[in-house]
Amino acid sequence: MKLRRISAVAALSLIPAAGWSCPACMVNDPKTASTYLGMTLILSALPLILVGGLGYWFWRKQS
Amino acid sequence: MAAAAQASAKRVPNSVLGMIIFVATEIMFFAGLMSAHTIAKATVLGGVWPPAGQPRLPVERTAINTAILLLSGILLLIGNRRMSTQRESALRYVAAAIACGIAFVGLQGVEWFGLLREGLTMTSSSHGAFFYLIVGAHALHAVAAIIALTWVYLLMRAGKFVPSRFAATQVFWYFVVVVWPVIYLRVYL
Amino acid sequence: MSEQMQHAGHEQAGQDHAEPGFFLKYCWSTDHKIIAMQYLFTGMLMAVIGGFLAYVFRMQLGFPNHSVPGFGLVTPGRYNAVVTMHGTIMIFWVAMPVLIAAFGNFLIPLMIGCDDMAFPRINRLSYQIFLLSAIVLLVSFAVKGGAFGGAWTAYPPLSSNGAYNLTPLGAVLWLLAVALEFVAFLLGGINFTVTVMNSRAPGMKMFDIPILIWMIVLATVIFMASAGPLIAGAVMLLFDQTLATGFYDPQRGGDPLLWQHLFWFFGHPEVYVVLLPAMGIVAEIIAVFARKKLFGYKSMLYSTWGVGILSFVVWAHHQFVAGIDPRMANVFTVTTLLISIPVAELVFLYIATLYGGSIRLDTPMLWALGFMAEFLIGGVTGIFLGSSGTDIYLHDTYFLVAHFHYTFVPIAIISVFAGITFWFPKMFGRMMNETLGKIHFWGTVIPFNVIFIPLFITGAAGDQRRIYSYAQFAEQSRPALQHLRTTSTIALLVMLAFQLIFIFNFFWSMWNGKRAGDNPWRSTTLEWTVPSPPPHGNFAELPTVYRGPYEYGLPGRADDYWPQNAPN
Repeated sequence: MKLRRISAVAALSLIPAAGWSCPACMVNDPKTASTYLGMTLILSALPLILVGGLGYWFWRKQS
Repeated sequence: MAAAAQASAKRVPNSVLGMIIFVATEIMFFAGLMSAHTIAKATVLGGVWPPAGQPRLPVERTAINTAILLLSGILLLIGNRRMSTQRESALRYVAAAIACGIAFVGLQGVEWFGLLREGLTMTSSSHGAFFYLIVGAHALHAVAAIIALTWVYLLMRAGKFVPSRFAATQVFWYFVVVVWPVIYLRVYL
Repeated sequence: MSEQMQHAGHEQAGQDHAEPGFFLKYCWSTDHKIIAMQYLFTGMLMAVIGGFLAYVFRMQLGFPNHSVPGFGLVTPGRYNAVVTMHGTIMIFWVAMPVLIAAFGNFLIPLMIGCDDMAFPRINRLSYQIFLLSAIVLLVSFAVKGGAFGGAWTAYPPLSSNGAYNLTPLGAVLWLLAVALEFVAFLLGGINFTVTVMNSRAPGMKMFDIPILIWMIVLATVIFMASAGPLIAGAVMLLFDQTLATGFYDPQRGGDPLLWQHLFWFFGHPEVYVVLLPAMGIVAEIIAVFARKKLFGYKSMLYSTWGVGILSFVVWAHHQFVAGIDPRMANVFTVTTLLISIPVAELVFLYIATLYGGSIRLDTPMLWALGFMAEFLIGGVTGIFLGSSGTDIYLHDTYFLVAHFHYTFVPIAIISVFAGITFWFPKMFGRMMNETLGKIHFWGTVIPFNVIFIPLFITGAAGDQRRIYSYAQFAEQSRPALQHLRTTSTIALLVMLAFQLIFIFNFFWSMWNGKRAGDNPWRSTTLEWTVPSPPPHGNFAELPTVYRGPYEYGLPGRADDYWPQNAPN
């Protein structure tokens, strides 16, 4: 029950319409918005994967 | 003392560890460039990439180049595996890897001259700017890797074989080799 | 390479008996302690310059359009340059070199029990590149057009086009200086990480490493993992400035938002890069002066890891008003508020450490407690800016400026004073004067609050930042707020005046202070087992570690502390 309520609230957060990802370049293109979103996710995840992977490797090597 | 020796055997040598961390930052550098390039591709005016009026990149010829660079990585791997048992033959593999690296940089240079003649420059469009920026950054790393490996090769030929130094140079070489196919897929195709 | 380095290190040690000249000893040394001092003094010199710049623009804001004594009339262009340089210098040339490079270089080998860094010569190179970067930055004040005036975040097109920022040469030199500085810290960071991973004293296991060392290493790891995209962006900006490319020019297929994307990917983790060492310094100090084992060492460590992980997923909150996808803004609001949990956890652990301890209020402890109190205000006001809704109103107002300074002044000033007063005996072999230290503490912390609390109010009332004179803009003028702006300026003058006491105390104590023994604070960690100041090579014989770093207040022992290297 609680979970359903939380997921309903989480789903609400997806409603806001995609804004102009680049107000200066005069292209209100959903492709632009999704590219920024994708690149943000990849760029954020990459260092965590790199550092995490190296850390795991060192840890395995030590023990 | 025995425990200390065991612990040091488990350790990654300083120079290799330093190089691995350096390569991780380099990966982030190229990730930044690729991310910018992907966004530029998506936000290009008119929605067509490459922009109209700009020459197409030589996809086929660069595929051969890519194969040469990958080959150099494989040659170096074989050289590394033989280093402890067959020193002479291993050194020949390392030399072949260096030759492949030089061939790659040379062929890329020839390609650049062709593109410049066709009118693709850093100021002609964001396509050209990103092409020279990303491929140029990789070429600089390739040249650095060639210089480093040549230096280590000459030292090894003179009989000064330091395992950790060779290993650290290899880490950098493999980075240059492995990052290239990603660039090829994103920039050329 | 390492073997060669070690060999070189031995040669260096051999030459040491010949007593090298002043230049070789202090300017060309590979000794980590000398390099730490070089970073410390360069950072302090830059702090004086950064403080002077703050004085210049605060005078302009407090007493508009009067000639500032020692500078002259602040024109709009000069105002931009002064604000930009204050931000740049204080973050990249004060906080980073002092907190990470100076304390890291000095303390890492001493605290983990080894004779020097893993790559001593790379360490020396790192400082030399850093010094070069500082010189390039200072030279930019003297070039035609003056120092860069495009704000320390250097948003294009303001930064990419010389016709907009009016400082075409200064902009290029600024970028070069930042790039050089990054190279220096990348070299230093590699050195730190490798040293801590490979050179620890025998017996020092993962959970026996002092928390400060953990935090410095995690900070450098965060720095190295986040600096790459900024360097990529900086190269593109440099090409825009010098080769007339169009990476950030929308009319030529570029995208100005791209810079923000790359800059803040580094820019926000940078906050945690400087926060973590500051938190570490405070942790060390409160454990010593509360005579109590640090509460929840492992929770502290896991919280720090949590901060490190989350620090990579909060950066787009700087772009809430830049027109990013609102769905992304939602995600980043949540992650921004989430990161306050591990940071708050750290502060709670510090308070738990204090609880029931026998607290001694010496100067370092005062600074440490001051850090916790002031940083708390900084953290709480951040919640308003981290929520994408309220941020739309508060963004780029003085509310943000005050919030930012409530985090960065504790980090870069208060915790640094805590660290300097605490490790001064180890650095120079003498104690600092306590009375002067306490006067300096109160003379810094009280004016600090008087500077920035009024700015919260003016910011909430709508004062935009980076405005050289409010009277010039009808919608910004608000004459009723002028007395708050003036109050803030006067408090800054008081605070700067009290820094003279510190400078006097620092240099006077260096030669005339009471002689400190090896362990004046009766602390357990390894740096206090060597003579003060430590000799070349640090330890007469490399120590073995038997226990964790915070064994204080133990019942049934003659001393109330148990050094890490004591067998029983």
